[in-house]
Amino acid sequence: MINGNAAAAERREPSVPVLDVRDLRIEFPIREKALVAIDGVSFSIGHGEILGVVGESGAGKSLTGSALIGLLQAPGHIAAGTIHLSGQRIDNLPETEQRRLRGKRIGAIFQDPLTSLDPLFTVGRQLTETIHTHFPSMSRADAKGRAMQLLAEVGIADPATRFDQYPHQFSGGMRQRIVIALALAGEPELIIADEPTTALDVSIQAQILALLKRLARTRDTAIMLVTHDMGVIAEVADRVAVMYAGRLVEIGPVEDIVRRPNHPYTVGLMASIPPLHRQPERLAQISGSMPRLGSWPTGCSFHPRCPHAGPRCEVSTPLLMPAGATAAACFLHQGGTAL
Amino acid sequence: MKRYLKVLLLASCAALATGVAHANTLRFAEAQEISSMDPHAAREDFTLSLLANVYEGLVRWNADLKIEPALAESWEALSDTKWKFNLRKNVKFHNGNPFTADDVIFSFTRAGSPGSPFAGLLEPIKEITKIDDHTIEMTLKRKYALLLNDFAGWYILDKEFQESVGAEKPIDLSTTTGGAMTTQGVGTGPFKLSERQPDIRTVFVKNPDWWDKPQHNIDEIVYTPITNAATRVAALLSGEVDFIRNAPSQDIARIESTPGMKIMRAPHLRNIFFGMDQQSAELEGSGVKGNPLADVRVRKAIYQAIDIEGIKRSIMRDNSRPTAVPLAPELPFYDASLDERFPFDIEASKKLLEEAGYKDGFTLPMDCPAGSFINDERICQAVVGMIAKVGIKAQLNMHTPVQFDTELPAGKYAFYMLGWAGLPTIDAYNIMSATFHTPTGDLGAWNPKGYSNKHVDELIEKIGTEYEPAKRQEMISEAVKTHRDEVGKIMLHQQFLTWGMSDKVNAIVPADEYTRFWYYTMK
Amino acid sequence: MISLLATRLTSVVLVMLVVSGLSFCVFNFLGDPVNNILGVNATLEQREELRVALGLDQTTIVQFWRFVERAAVGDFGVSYRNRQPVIDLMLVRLPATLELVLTATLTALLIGIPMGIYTALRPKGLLSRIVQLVSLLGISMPQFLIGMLLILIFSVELRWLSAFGRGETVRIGWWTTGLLTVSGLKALIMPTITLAVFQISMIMRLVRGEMLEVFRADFIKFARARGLSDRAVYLTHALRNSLLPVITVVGLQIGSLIAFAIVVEAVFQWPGMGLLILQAIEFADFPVMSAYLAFVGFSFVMINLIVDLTYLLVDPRMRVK
Repeated sequence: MINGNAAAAERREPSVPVLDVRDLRIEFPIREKALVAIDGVSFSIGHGEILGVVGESGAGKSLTGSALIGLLQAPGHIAAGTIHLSGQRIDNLPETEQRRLRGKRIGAIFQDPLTSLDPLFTVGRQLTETIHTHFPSMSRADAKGRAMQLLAEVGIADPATRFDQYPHQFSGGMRQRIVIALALAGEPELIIADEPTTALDVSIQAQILALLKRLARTRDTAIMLVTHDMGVIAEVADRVAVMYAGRLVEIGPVEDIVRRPNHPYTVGLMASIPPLHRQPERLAQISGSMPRLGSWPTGCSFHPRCPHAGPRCEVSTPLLMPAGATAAACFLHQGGTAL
Repeated sequence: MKRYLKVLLLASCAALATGVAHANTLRFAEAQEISSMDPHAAREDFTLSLLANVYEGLVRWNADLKIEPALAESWEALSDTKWKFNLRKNVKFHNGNPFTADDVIFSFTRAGSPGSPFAGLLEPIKEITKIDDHTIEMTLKRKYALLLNDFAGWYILDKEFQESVGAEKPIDLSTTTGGAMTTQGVGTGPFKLSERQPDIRTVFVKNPDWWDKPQHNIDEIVYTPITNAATRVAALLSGEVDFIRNAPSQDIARIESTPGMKIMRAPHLRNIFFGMDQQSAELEGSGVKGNPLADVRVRKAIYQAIDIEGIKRSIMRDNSRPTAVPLAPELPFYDASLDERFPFDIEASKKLLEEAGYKDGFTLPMDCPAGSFINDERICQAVVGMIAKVGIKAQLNMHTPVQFDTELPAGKYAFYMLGWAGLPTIDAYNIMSATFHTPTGDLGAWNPKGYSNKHVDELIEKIGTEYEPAKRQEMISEAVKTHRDEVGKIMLHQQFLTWGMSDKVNAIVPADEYTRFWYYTMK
Repeated sequence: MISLLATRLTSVVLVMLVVSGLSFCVFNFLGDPVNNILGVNATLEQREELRVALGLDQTTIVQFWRFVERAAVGDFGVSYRNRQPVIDLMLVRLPATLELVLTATLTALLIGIPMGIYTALRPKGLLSRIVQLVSLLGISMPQFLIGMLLILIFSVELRWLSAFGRGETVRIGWWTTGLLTVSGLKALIMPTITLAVFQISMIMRLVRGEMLEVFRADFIKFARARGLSDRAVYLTHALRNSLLPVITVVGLQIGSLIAFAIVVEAVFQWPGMGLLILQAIEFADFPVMSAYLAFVGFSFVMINLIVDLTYLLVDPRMRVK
């Protein structure tokens, strides 16, 4: 554990972001055709920074997360681009090496805490199992001590008793805390949290988000927070990346994205934030819905729904370019006109 | 470790080799199991045929199925109802006890006691008195012609042994909690019981003190019941057993073509036929008025519609002999001149039906057992097809043997397959009284609602009491002829016994299917 | 737990009563044993006497009540066929069947589970395809045929194994075992395979199906995200979760194995309960039949109980409350 921290400290160089994704392209070969699910996505996350990734479901947020931890569902694969973790390229590592990263340097938290834990094993067993995987030389007693420490850190009261309990004996929020503890077990530099609060009650959501925020600050961990809930983003993210149909359409500091969005899609998205942190049923301000994978239109994928779309949008794809305080992929901000 | 194994292997091989060298072991397998070592507990042919090697009666059947003295050396009829038997001296039971008149009287009381399956067999005997240790006198209730035949199947037990194990009576199934004789028994026969695990293995060894001069050279008989026919044949082919009775028809060729194996064939006493309801006024389910089977022309029409040679050829694979009368040639008083079938003739059959007024045929309910007789099911199916050609639509119902044997005597069948061998009496009287006689009292139990002819009934009763062979022959022939001409049954064939065995075994195959091992030799 | 046991024990009694009651209704259609006991030459009077003595002249309900009365004090009567007390007979035959059923179950588990795991992990491998095909054969081939095929190959042609029986047995108290002698173990081979083939195929397909199902579960994805090795993911988490339904099915299968054993025991002349009931049916040996059916009812309830208890052991969610 001490070694783990030291190694992490060694890797840390102020100029190098924890995560750096460049031109990521993910394809699904289906019937001799390659479906492009993620196209040209680039972003980075620094130490202690929380990057919120938003978009409707199917936009490619979770897929990006899966690609980062090397768990893309076959036949999906990274077709182009690079992923660097603290300066080290990880997208082309062999499977065994990638597995060594999982849980150890990149932690993951999934949407449903009710199904993320194996129901047949005690939380203690699942924790020590994970700790032993990443720190094989650690003694049983140390592992148990470490596990209790983690439980305490994520806010589980009475860890000694809870250690021997099974997942079904915990509430949803408690279970998500355990999932977070498990994600922390390897002392990762980066945590990918995929919809970590979606399945939880509103009051619990806030607690979990506060916990994540605290972890990012205290542990200096980079967090990629995938969600479709702008309310969540507004609450915890430092920066926000907006995804639409496999592409990054806008990225920038949270204040700017929320207050002064540049991309028409982001504009629509922001208008849908409800007063209380309630999840929007759908994007009320934007008519239509996001096309399904495989039937994405040419040009700017958003043009069929875009109130400002012009002929140019139908034929060529805008690149992500600085636009005010953010960067947006829209011709409106590139040469001023979409016509 | 390996060396030890080798030594062990060599040693056991040596033991096996020497074991084979000076003991002739006959390994025998059959479907049934010996129901008990108690020879009075069940009247069931298989058990009695094996126990014949352990126990003996006053007389026994020899290799040619003739009665010869056994525990009685000689006998004479003092009057029509009084007999004297001189018992054999110097006979010892397997436990060393001497055989005396007391044992005969004890065995009479035991087997004849109420509830014993042998009570009926010994019923004609009023009493047995002891003259001395080796002489008895027997008083009969009435004149009875088949006393000696019956005595061959009534085995004598050692009084002292039976009392010592608490088996003074044959087991009573309704009350008792166990049978002392399930796994033990003492007789005077050529072989004695040495090991018994019911349903697994029964071993008999040679009785060195047997009173008779052994013709056999068998030291040990190991009997294993193997229920499944295919497994039994496989056990023979693989050399695990030396002898099986009743090789299934379809396996005979395979056994014969296997080097070192043979099939021994002999005619069986059992004749197969169809019995019929000839008494009911209506034949239920026939679709016609009246009872067609009551008309001799209809019975004959069915008879002549059956291609018996075809059945012999394609179903029995030549292991049968078409017959016209239910008595086998191996039975005393068989009359070859009567054994001539009505010919297979479809046209004649159709004509008979037309004469009888059944030109358009009728529906015939038909009941057959599956597994009682050789190829019973296939024969019945074939007959259904054959009589369909003359317009009779048979509705075939198959039954398990136990169900069949229960429902048939109860008169539930109108047209049924039956086989009769006349065991254990081995006399025409047994067959006739059970299957010819009008059902009355003790007679005609297997002829329910069937053939009925007053004159034939009278003849049968006389046959049972007539001692004079010439007179018996005359009456038997007359009854058989009348029954044949009136088509009392539709005769099919006499079954052949096909016993499969290793070339090492030299067996005799008697028509009553008994395994008389004291005539067997092994190479 | 206690209440579970209590309800189960009452259901044992109920099931046994119902099963043997049904069996008594069936007896009427089987025929009666009188012929087999007295022989074909018995007079009608003798037959009737025996029927009365055995109580066969009574109505089904009276016969059944008598059976229950006697069975309640452990008296199942005397076998008509063997002339032995039914209880003794059953105790002699029980070890043979239990040893066969248990070795077959063990074989089925030891082969079926690993093969199921393998085919789930390598669904497209050549070996998996072969195994799948063979297992289809195992499910569809009648046991009688499998047994006879084995006998033809290993007894008749190769002469390696005995076509019938249990080999040498050793007595330990009232229990006879074939597991302690070479010939006893050899005798077990073919019956075990015959009995297990179907179970192997079934367990394999079941494990495979369940594993593939569990592989899609979130906790498996999360386990991999935690960095656990494939071994831990598949063999610890996926397998254990797949086994829950397997336990149920295997439990029920052990029950049906007792039934399937009838065929196998008949083919190999295996001196167990299956052969006993077959012989009893042929003879209309009612005391043995009713006792056997009561025993089968008892076993089924007991097996169910054991399955439930195993569930408690494996699945912590069942333990609450």
